[in-house]
Amino acid sequence: MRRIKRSSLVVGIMVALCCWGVSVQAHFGVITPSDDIVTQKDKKTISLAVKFIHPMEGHYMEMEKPKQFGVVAAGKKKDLLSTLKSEKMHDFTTWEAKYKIKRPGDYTFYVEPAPYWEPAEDLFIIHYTKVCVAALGLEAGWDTPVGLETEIVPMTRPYGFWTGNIFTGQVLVKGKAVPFAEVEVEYLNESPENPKTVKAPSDPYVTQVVKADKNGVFSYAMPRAGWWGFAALSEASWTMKKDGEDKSIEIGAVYWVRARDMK
Amino acid sequence: MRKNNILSKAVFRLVFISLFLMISSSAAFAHKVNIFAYVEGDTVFCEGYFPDGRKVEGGKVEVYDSNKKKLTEGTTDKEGLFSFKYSKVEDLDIVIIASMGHKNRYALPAEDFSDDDTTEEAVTQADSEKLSEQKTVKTGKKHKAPEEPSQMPGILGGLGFIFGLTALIMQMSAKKKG
Repeated sequence: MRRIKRSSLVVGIMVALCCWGVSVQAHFGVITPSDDIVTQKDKKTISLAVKFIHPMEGHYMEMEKPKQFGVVAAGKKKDLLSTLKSEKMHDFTTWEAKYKIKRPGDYTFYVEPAPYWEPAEDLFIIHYTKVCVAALGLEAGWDTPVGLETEIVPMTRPYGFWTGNIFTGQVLVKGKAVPFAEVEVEYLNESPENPKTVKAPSDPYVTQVVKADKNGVFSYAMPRAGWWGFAALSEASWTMKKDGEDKSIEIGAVYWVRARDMK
Repeated sequence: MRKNNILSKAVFRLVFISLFLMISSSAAFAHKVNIFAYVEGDTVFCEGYFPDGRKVEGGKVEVYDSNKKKLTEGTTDKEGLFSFKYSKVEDLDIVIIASMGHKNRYALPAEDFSDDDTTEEAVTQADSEKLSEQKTVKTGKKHKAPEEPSQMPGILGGLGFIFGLTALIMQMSAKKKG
């Protein structure tokens, strides 16, 4: 199935190259918090930016109001959809929410976007995206799955990474590990700690690709300070109609982590 | 027979030492005590905990005002909790002292005493402007290391314990041989 998708992607790329002379990059759902480790001295109200972009290239896409947005903390799920407010970034709709941390512990924020129609790939895209915010020294909860259709569950604590550290995660679909899942990795060029926009010498440098092992476990070492997105892509077990025709759906499990330089 | 005896002793020692190594290394991390405090009604609730979620039981809690005057003190219970009724809304410095001199503090600001979330809304507005700035500002926020170097004594203590224990065992076995 994946191979079929790849070939259609190749066709898409060729068409795009011929017609407009642009290359195709990987789409990523994004949630980035204003602070990922909230200490006593930090502001307890954080903001979360929710968008749909090409992280390395800095291209934005239109994002409809998500279907789900919430947080899991201390094992409890809380719906935060009503706190999302739309914004305009580079002429595209993005979303933003505020959240006040009230207690110590890990907060896993998650978003399920509305299906995005991608004509170049002839499919819908739904990226179930997560990020973890650690608060006040209680490092508990980051490895709890949210229970999304597909998700990456971190196997390394997903905060406090130095540049060069390895992030390891497990890819789940319907709560079960996905053997040999393909994971795309991209650097968020607009990361606050990025001193200079990274230019990729060629397309393979834009999106890194790693494959999971038979237990759905993958690893990647992050070579630069800033936010890194991991997107494990699968095909949904259901389809959706577009102009009366059934179209397949790419479901992505996306996870964001931040690395910092040792100074 | 004697050879066997020596061998089993050596194995026993090895197991013993590695066991202590394991215990002391996990304890060194867990000794980083934390304290968190919040206000509900007329009471300030304090919670003492380790990073892995275990509670600090029997930790001494001292509460100071901004002039460093001690207002009250107490001990955390089995759930790591200690609470007290406050008489005045002010900035509080709450210190927890656990066993072996490990301590940490929590600054409870006066604004946390108000139950309504109107202040939160005000902060939210200001933050919203900050976030749009965040995308252009290229300097990352620095996270400071915790001020209390509470981990080091634990690690050193653990190492000292292992060395001491090893020396004792070696001495004992030397005596026996002698």
